[in-house]
Amino acid sequence: MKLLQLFLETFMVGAFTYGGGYAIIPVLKSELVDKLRWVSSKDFGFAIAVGQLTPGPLSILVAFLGWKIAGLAGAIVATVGLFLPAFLAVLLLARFYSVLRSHPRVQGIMNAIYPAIGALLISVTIDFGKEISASGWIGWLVGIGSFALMTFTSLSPAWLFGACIIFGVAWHPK
Amino acid sequence: MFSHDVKTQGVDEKRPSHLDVFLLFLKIGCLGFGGPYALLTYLEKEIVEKKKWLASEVFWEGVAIGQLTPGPIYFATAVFCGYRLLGSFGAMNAALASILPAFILTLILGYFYLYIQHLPGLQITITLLLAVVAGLLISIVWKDRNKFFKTKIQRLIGFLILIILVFFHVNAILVLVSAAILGAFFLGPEKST
Repeated sequence: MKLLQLFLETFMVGAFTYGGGYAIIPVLKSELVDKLRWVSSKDFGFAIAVGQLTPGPLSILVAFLGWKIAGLAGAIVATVGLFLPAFLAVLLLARFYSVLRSHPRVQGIMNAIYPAIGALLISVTIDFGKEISASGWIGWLVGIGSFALMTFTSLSPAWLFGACIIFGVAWHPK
Repeated sequence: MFSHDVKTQGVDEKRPSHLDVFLLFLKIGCLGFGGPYALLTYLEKEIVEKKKWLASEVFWEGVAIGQLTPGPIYFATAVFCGYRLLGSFGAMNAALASILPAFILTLILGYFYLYIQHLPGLQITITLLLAVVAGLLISIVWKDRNKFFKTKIQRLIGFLILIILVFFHVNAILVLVSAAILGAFFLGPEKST
């Protein structure tokens, strides 16, 4: 039953995350961390890093979350569930693309979905801000620093994630 | 299942086999850095310029479809290319090959997590990772502000949804579905300025 529910959850998330891989962060957090409480926010934070450190789309972080929730079967079910809507949508659109592209309803949906995703990204950042504040100035320094690096340089975020993990493994508080 | 190949073989002599398609997407799926647009560039170089399996216009139609469909744009484009090359089975082939490398590496990192999750530094690591993600997300919203909040009405929608999310903690999928339904009926292209 849990596998079926996991499949339905990831399928819904996959069907409603437009506009690149990052849109998936607020939606997955809302479902798996806040609503179902299947994953702790600590594990979720590590999942994002895993998604960034592996090749390909960030969305693969669902494989890690599925694995934490229900082992290898969970990883497979969550990954298939997440990518299936995109797969089916492409097969449909490949046939009806020219009709749908210019349809006013489709454009209307896009016009409303993008600001909604922008708002979701900002609101999940505010959520993270609360946890970051708990660690004091170092969290803010890293947050503002990574904003500056990501905005003004073409550095891949994976380097920053790698640096954080190395720092954490080496860290031994007295 | 393979009748599709036989039928079209005479039309296009450069039509690849299922194994060719699988190996190409597996190779690009292994490439890490650079983000989705870099991956699209690699794919275009291989599939259009080098191997000449697809015409350039067909490839870019796939990219456009990738922007209209949910999920990662590279994945959608790969599925589209697979479909155009070898039908539905080719689409499945491309989808599987695109995800497989990342999937396996993710599970390897998952086992690595089992060993480090009790280290004393893990809590601070996660906090710092979240700080990086926060900086990254705000940077993305800022850089893509013309995509997310292009028109006045979009800025208004974004602001209202943000207020709802922050103060009422509404479920994200509910927000997206409501936005899509309202957009379909009230936000056609002519009303979006």
